[in-house]
Amino acid sequence: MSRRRMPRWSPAAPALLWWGFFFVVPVAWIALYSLGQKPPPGGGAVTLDVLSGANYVAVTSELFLRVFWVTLRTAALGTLACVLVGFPVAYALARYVPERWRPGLLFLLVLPYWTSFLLRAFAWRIILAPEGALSDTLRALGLLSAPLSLLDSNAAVQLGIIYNYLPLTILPIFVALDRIDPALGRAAMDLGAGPVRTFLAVTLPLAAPGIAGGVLLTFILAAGDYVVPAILGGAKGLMVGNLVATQILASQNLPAGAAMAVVLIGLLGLAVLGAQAAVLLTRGALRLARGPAL
Amino acid sequence: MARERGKGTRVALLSWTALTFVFLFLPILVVVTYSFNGGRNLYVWTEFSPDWYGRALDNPRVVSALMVSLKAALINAAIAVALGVPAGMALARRKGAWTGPFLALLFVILGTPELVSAIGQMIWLDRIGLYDGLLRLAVGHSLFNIAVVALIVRARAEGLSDTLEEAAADLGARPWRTFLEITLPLMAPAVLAGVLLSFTFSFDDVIISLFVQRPGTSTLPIYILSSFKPGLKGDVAAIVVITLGLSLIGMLAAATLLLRGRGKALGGLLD
Amino acid sequence: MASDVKLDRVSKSFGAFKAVDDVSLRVPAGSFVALLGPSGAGKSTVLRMIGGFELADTGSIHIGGRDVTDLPPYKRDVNTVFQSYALFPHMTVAENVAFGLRQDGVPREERRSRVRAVLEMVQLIDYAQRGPAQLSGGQQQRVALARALVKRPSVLLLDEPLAALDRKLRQQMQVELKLLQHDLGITFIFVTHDQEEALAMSDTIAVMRDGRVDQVGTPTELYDRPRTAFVAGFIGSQNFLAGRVESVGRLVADNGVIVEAANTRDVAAGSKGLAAVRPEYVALTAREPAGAGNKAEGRVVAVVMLGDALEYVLRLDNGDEIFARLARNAPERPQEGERVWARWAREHAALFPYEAVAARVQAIARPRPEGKSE
Repeated sequence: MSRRRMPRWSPAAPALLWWGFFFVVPVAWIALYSLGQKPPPGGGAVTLDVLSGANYVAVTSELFLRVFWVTLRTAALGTLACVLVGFPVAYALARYVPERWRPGLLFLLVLPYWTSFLLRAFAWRIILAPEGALSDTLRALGLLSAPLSLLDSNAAVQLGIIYNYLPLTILPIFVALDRIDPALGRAAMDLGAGPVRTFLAVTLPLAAPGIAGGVLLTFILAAGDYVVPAILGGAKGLMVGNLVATQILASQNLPAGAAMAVVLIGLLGLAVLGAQAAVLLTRGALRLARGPAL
Repeated sequence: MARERGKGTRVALLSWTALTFVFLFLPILVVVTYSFNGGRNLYVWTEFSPDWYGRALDNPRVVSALMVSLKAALINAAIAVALGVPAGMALARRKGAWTGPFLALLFVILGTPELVSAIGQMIWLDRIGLYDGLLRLAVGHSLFNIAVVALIVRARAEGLSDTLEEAAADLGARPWRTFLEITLPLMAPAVLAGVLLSFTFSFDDVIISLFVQRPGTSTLPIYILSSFKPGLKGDVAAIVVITLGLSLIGMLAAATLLLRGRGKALGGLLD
Repeated sequence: MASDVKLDRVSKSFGAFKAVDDVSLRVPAGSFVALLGPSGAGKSTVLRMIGGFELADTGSIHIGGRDVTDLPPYKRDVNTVFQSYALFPHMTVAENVAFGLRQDGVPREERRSRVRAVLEMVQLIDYAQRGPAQLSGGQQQRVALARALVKRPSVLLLDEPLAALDRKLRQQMQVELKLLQHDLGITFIFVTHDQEEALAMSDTIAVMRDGRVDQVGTPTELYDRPRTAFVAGFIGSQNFLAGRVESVGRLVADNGVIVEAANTRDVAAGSKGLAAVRPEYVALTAREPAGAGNKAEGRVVAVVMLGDALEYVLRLDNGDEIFARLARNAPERPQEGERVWARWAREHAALFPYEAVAARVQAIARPRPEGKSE
């Protein structure tokens, strides 16, 4: 408490420096490496003599574009499915579950997400196995004519993504809904809005930022996922994460992998900006449609 | 029986919620069950047998991978707490113009796909010549966990009045004593929870470990991952369940510490 | 052993906001002083500077003759009762009270006897082993008091300690605190925004606004001879009439009422002024009083029951309102709806330079009849 006290942020400085040195700088190097070349064998990880955008050209090859597209599609569909499945759950937790049970249920909700990635993907391998119990059951019931062949395909990856990120989507939506003062809903009904209108006109708009945050987070993490496609996708379920990993770890082509990573970040960044723009536009459009209140 | 508004909606939503929870937990139960599958082929259930657990723990590669995971997780937890606790406290008590940008960076760290961080680590750790396997793992994992610890500590500190520290000073306690007698005991649950969570996240981490690992220091998840290629056997399932058990204990302990006596839901974490 | 407190030209800014502006104050040893003012007046900041939780940008602070301006809280012989009580949640009541003694290195036996004595003084000895969460607001407040007093400071600071209590309890605690201070003889410095509270408890009140001290005086001085319109309106109830100052002690209000005041502050003739008279000095009569000034005619639009008195809201023809307070057994008590004359004596009227102050009265606004605009 001295007059010449240390700057307010000084306790956070070590973390800041650590992050700067071990995150910001490395990410900058990714960008730099993406402009380099794969050196001849034995020449280290990269040659930076000639900086060029050659890797980015390679990135636009047919294979890569297809994989990128599949990735974005899987992530988007997965996020959408998570929201559709998860929103009612979040709503139930925020409004209908008794206060006492909430911490416990929230814990149970998050538990699968915090257990091992591998465990969860692994589980689906067992469930979807062609020679496994589910396959046999479905065949016995006559719903399938051949062994279950979902595994090692994009469908399995899609399922795995949804399963993986469901809790991650539910939690921010729950937080957003929980924050809303219940008195607001009552006020709306008092002024003549039925339950549905109250939901659309009051609850949803107030929860929208939280929902948007959850959606964005899910989409970004799903797009960059490696484990689910690696375990459930096989050759046909490839996503960007695996492609990058193969380039860097298997083909030893670090610059190419770096370029793909940069493209991925760029696309995700655009997604974030696009989402924010969409929110602003929607708000503006709604205001325009309703007309001024005064 | 009291009359209730919107009963139909309530039943529908709660049923949906229950179904979702079943959906979320079924696969875990499946793995646990199949880890006791005595048969050769993991996917085909033959008989109940705990043999695989014994075989898993006998395997020296498994044991060494387990040790690597544990040690790396511990070092990482130490880093996360050492850097994250002061940051969290500063975020709660010493807010200022710096808070916004700092939190922005924090959320970038949390929200960036681990893939990106992993590649960066790989490049950078090689460039600065950090070749020690355990340290590479610990450093790579620590980034995310510092953010987690900082958020937990911040949530806890904001729930406690900062006047408490002023009162202690008013009553004659020098800053060091205030820290030891007031701040630390009150923050202890959050700090402990941070330790447990950062330990668990590090233990379970796949992709950063995959990229930064050095030959000879492979973590348990990497071992499991590599076991997927050849024919899958029950011992892998057994290992996975063991890791699940460890994570569960960590989670439960952290949750108990965080939620005991405090009314705040987890929502406080995500503010 | 009480100490006096001296603030010399103390200022404190937070960024661009000047919270305390060149304040000088002397608190005599052993007195009960209130820092009174609306929120944002800077009174809490002044208190915190005396306690050592904020450092003055300029000026000096002396306690008992000792310069404490740069000293941290744990080096000052001052203890604070915080508005939120700030009881340590992880300690029992007894441990809370003992905390300060432990910091001073008081040996265990003496510590225990002093803790016991002070807990008996605040009548909480039976709660010694409880946690703060198990106590009511009033009990927590007394623990906070005990914790501060056990150290026998020469000055006790209290930051709106009664704000969180309900009215009855607050009134009870006001009396208790006053008696306590009298028995202990320690200097009490008390921050409050409640003028009734300040009037009831203090020997001296410093009225603050916008970081400055408007007036320092005894409750009677502040009540009977306010130095600014702000103090006049902040303490007790007041009728205000704005208008033009015709000559010294004479104001012609905008609504036509002429006020002749005995108490005037530097108001130049021709300038805009504010006349003030307290409702309890306004009498109501049916017939027009003699004289040219200090009277106004209107209709009684509301009669408010205050328990021991009645407050009359008189609406003049132009819409302005005057309040009069009469005892329940006063001889002339008009009915609602009657037209009456309000009159007051010259000695009870005051004149101030104009400033935008709101009259503080306990009355309920009634809906205006149709046709009248705001």
